[in-house]
Amino acid sequence: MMELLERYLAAVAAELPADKQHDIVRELRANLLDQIEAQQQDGPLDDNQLSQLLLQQGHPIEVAQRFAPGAPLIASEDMPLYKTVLWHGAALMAVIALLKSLGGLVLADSINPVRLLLQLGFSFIDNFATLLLLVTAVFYGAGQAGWTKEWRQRQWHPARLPRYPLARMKLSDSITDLTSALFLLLLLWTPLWLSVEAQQHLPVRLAEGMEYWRYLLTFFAALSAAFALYRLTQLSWQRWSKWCYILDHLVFALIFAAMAIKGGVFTEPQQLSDGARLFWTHAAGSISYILLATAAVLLVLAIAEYRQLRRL
Amino acid sequence: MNDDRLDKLRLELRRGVLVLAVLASSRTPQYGYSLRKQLNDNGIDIDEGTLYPLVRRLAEQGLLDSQWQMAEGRERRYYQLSATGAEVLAQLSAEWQQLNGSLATLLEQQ
Repeated sequence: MMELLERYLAAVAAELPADKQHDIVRELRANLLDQIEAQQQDGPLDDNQLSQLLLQQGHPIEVAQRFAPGAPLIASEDMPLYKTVLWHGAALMAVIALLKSLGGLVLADSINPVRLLLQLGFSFIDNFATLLLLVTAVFYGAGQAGWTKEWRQRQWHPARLPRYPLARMKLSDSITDLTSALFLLLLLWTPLWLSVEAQQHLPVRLAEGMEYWRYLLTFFAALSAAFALYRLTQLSWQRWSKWCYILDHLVFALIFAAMAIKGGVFTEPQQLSDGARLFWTHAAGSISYILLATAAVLLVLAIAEYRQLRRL
Repeated sequence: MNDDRLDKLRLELRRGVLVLAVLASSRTPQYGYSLRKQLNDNGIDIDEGTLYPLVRRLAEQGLLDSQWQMAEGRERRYYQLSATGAEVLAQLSAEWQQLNGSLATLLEQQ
């Protein structure tokens, strides 16, 4: 009979934190022995009756949880922000994985769709696993330090709540803008995260004498990221912050349009594969159209923001 | 209303009161099983899975003092109301009396 009890206690102990195992099991054993004693007035309990008593206590995992409930890594109040960051991060990782795979496709002498999909999938999982680990660690650390609570309570006063729905700063918009700015910085600074060999094989690179575009875009992308970070600390739009947001869109629209009109900003890679040669022979002109289309989209967004500004 | 939902509501209603019941029952030294029996004898049915972790939590919060003792050839952990626990019990009792009075008035109006 006692063997069954000890097996049950060992199963509970296995689910407890090491520093609490001895104390909790000691107390649980004492309590269970009292219960057994109370039930064996008509003679010692057999294994079947003891099993019933232990079943009433609950599964060892549940019992261990009741005595030493585990603290969640992320507080429930932080979950909306945590999920938003992960979703945007996942989108960014997907785009990066896609670019890497397409780069490989341009370089390849023959196209294998299955290999491409596998490469895309593994590249995404690899990047996303790292991101998941980092974001969880940051949220855990910030939660333990009380920073996330401070952030949630930022500027909280009924009088500071946005007067109109349009004046409310959307968390997802700020995170999207931050992600976009970081993505642009990653694209601009491939030398920092791509191997020399991979860089030589990139299907597109900045032409000689065009490096200033990199620095110009870096400057504005960094400003854009800083502004998005600032907006994460705010609850509502002010007229000046809306103007800055419009200006942010217009600057990028202007830069992309200028790059498209000037032409010759990008050139072919040093080592030209068959795929890259095909692209540069037939589709090099599409770079200007892509830049113009991006500028047009940014212009439309800026106009939409200006219309909102007038209603603030 | 189905039994499951009613059980959940009943559990919620009793959860806060259990702390008061355990503190009040711990004026004299009690070990886990004796405490449960005393509560049961006074009409408060509480299962071991809820009571024992609750008692440990109250001890960790300093509301109960605890001590291992040998009794009837076996060791048992005895709990007793601490000085802080006694203060908290007095405050919670007053709160309970007030709440109970207000609730009684409200329920009588129905």
